[in-house]
Amino acid sequence: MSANKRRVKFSVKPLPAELFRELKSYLGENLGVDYREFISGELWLTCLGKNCIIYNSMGRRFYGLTLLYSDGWIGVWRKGAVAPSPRIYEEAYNRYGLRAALIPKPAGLKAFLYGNDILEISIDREIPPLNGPVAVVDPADNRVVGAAVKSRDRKGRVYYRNIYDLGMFVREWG
Amino acid sequence: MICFNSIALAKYMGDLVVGGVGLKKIIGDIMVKPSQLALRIAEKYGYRPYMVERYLEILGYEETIKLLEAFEKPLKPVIRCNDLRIDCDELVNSLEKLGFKLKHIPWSIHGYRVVVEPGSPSIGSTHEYLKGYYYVHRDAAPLIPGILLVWGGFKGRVLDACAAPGGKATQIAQLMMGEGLVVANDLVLYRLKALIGHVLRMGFNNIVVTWSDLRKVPAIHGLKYERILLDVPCSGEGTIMFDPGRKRRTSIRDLAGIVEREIELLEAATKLLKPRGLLAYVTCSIAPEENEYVVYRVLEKHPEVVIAKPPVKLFDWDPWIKSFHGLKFPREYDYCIRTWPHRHGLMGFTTCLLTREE
Repeated sequence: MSANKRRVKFSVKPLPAELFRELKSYLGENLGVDYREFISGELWLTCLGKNCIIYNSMGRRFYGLTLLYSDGWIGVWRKGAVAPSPRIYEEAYNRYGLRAALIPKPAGLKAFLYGNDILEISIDREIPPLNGPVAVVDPADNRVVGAAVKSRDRKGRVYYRNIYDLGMFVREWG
Repeated sequence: MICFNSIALAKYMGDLVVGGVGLKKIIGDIMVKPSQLALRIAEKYGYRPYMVERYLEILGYEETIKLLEAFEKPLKPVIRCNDLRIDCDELVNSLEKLGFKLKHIPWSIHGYRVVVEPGSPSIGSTHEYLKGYYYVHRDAAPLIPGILLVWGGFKGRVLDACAAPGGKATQIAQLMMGEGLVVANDLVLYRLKALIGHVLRMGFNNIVVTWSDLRKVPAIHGLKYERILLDVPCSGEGTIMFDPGRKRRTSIRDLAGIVEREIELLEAATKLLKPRGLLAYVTCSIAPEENEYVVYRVLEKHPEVVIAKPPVKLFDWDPWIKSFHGLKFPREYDYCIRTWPHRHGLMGFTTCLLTREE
């Protein structure tokens, strides 16, 4: 393994207030849930480069040990967007039904899990609201595999920009 | 904000004051003069002679050759189905549709050996893998300590003291069915990122990830544990089938340094164990220096720590050896576990359960 691969820079800090507001408003307005159902205590952010995960935490230390992540994955902050974790999307859908979601066609899903965007041709179904991140749902088992944001390319064509996908944890964290 | 850098950490580690048995004594205890036979076999198979000398001492000539031949044959990987996310039969069906052929490991509910792989995708790049439906282990042997530690439905607090990249921590979190708490600690930052990745990908909510040197933990940590898994950084002498470079990588002096660190880590871990709790000392090395000798030295110093009998015998594994280089080991080593590539068709692996008396 090269020395560069071993050079890792984590940062751990409380979730900035503006990101907390963004997350709270997204959960209420786009998913129709009360944020207090999912968030307890402080939210913290652990970043590996520009990939940041948001989680419930008791702070910087766990009984004296340096804490990098604690139970309760809340979301991701990446590419300028805050998106909830699959667990939060799935729990919200179980209680209140599908909202702010995208069902891709198989080829689109496959490409998405490898880090790609979802092109218009690969969209099977969109479930509003679509202003903000949407959960990308695998229709085979209704599992959320990541989140994307509706965007337009230079020619005005619609596509969904990958904010995060579960494959990211193998590609970039593995 | 705090930032961590693994290079800075390495410098910090250099400043650590080490205690324990002492490197000089360890070197004296483990040094051997290889015989002519060991030299000949070592040359033929490409090993360091001291390694072969002790294989001959433990196994005799014929079994030594069988062991060395077994190390020449690669083992197929094992997947651990994450039944908190998917039904295991459904997972097996999906993977078989992709061209994989899986064989269930009889003593592990969630383990399957990948006996046939298609050209593409690899077992570590399927959709099912990316979605967290399984973990890929190099072999089935590493599943043993997790099963033993939580046998009987334990769902309390577990410390995985050297946890990265997370195979055993996620296994224990899974076996506790998402309940209890696994504190997954490691010192090596670049390996901790993989651990966090596996925790998130596989969707576990009962794992906390910490970055600390176990040897300093007893002085700063305010918790004791009912279960501790200590899979120490070792020479990897049981994994030669995956990495033939290990035949020659570790000189006997390097090995002494590894043994010294293992003694320090085990000593630190025992201080974090609650009375009547269980600690699994684990290595992926078949070297008695790193197993029987390490535990012997720690038990000698800590009479309150004793060997515990495993709650179940999963298969016909071997016990630890009873003497080595003139040292006589306790008869309770019968309760400790060794797997040999040539006897069990598994990687070379060891574990021993310890407990702390009231």
